[in-house]
Amino acid sequence: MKIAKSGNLARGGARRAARAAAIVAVALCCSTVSAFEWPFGAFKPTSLFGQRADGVIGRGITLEGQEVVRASGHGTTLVTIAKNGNMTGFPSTLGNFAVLSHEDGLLSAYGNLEALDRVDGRTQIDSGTILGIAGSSAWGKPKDVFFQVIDTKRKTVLNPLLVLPGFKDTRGPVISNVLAISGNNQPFALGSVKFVKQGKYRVYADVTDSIDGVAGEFAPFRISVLVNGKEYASIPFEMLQEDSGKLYLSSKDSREYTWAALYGDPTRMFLADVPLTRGRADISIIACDIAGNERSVLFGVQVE
Amino acid sequence: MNIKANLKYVLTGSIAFLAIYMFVAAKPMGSDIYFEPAWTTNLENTQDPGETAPKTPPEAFKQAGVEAFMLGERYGFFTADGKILSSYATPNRVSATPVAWATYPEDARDTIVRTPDGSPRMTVSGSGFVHLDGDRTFLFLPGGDAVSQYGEGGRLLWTREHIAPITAFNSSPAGTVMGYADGYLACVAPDGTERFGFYPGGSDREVIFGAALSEDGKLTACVSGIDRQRFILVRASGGQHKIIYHTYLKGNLRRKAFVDFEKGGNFAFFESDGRLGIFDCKKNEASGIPVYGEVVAAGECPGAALFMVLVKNGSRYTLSAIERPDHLVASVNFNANDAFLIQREGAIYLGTDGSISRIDIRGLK
Repeated sequence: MKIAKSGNLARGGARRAARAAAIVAVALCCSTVSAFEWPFGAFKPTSLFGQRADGVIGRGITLEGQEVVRASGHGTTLVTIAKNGNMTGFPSTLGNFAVLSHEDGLLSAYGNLEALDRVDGRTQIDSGTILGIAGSSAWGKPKDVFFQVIDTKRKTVLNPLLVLPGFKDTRGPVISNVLAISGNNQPFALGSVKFVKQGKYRVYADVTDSIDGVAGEFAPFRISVLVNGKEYASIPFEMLQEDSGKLYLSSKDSREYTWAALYGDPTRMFLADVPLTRGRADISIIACDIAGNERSVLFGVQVE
Repeated sequence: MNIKANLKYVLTGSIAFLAIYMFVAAKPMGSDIYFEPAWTTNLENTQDPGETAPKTPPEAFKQAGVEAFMLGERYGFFTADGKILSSYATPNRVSATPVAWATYPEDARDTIVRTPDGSPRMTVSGSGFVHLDGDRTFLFLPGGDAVSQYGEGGRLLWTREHIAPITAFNSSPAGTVMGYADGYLACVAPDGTERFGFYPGGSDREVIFGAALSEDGKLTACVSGIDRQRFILVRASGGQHKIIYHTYLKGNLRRKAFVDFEKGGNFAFFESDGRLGIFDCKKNEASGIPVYGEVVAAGECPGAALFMVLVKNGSRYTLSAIERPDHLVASVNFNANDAFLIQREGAIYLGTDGSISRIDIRGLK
């Protein structure tokens, strides 16, 4: 196995540049649509967008140890939903939550508020207005707060990091436990096998990101899988779309990465279906985070 | 004209007019309805903390008319004649219906649903909040926009996700309706098949505040939108859906709105800013009464001529009796931290903090 850090991979320099440009383009596009402010005082995420999150793909960011929750932008109160009372309503897993409506069809949602009295009765909300304090009304841990951004024009859930100010991060993602599973369900740990039979393989890996000064493992921003330089999958953790009542991360090849597809394996992430034909195959996996830190791994196998 | 001489006639005429006016002009009640208190029972914690099996014999829970209650941190079951079959106290969340109950913490996973006598009924595998509605079991998944329904034995029937948080939810034996913060309204059959899904629109800002599905699944009611908030009624049949009625509402409610059908499907109730709307599904007519607070319960299983409404405004509750369709015949205020209302035709059960009362409605035709 050959491991290459950012910039050390022999092939794909042009692709990396294109990918970086795409990230910048998406970020610029979103930031020109609406520049949000951080709704929380301290950046202590426990979960980021697209992350494996207790049976669902993470829809936003969850931060721990928060006190005050503020409006991330100017807007109007769209709806507040109170934690259901006895024998009434339904139990939203966001607990007491507020949804604000902003320009350009963007909505921002704030979950696990202690109470809604700071929002109820108010129509116009200025950026930075205190919406409440973190509570224990939602599913999860007390004082964890949830933040989500929805683009109603494009009918997508946006990765909030695309519309929030950037943060300092020098640590790249980690790629481990890479596995290729053959058509007859035989697993091969890439890096420890040198020969495989030709055929179609499903590639799985554990891909996590880390952030400077923050404990925990997080979802990356993009993962790509290439064989001999040809890209077979590019999973952008940018937005979630819906099809027939299922949310999915859409890839460039229009593959729908639903929860079941992406996180069906309890320990690894499904990345791609790749065909391996006779001869040498260089399988590379490239992951980057929102700050642009990139990590890649390259596995060479002989296909018989 | 001798006014003095005619004064006695003027006075006599005025008194006669008033007497006639009082009996003729005032809107009479359609029947001689009166309320008779049947019993009040205090809730005592009959169970030890952590117990899941009641001390009452299991057979007692099988009798007709057993109801579930949840008041503050207390929940359990009682009978129509006022016997408390079980009464538990818990700091956890609770969902309870006459056929099942579940209690779970804020980070709930793999919640056990039990029958009223405490026997395990199923385990709902997965993370989230369990919601019981009649004999239907739902799991609201983390993230706020996804819900699953589970069948007998904890079998997953369906899961639906959407791009925005759920802001309205209701189910009936014929299916489930969900409304979302982006204004999307979806209705699915019991097997999860989508019956319809669309954006009602018609307002400057789209959002669903409340939605309900009739018992037979043919009608869906919904309160939606801001700046020209409106009530719509959707009829679904044969794979088609059509808005058969809509009306714009005064003001802009920006919180969860009460929307429900009565069991018979003849009336729909919908809350707007300071008002409870009552829609006669047969006559296609809407009327309403003013309300001062948040509607907690209204006429789910009413009598033939009368339904009750419970409204909460802070710690002040108002219980009102409405003669169909919109004639307020009685109203009473009381203070409580928690309260619930169950109407079973001619009987109402009113729970307030530490007690439950049954009040019979007499004179119903």
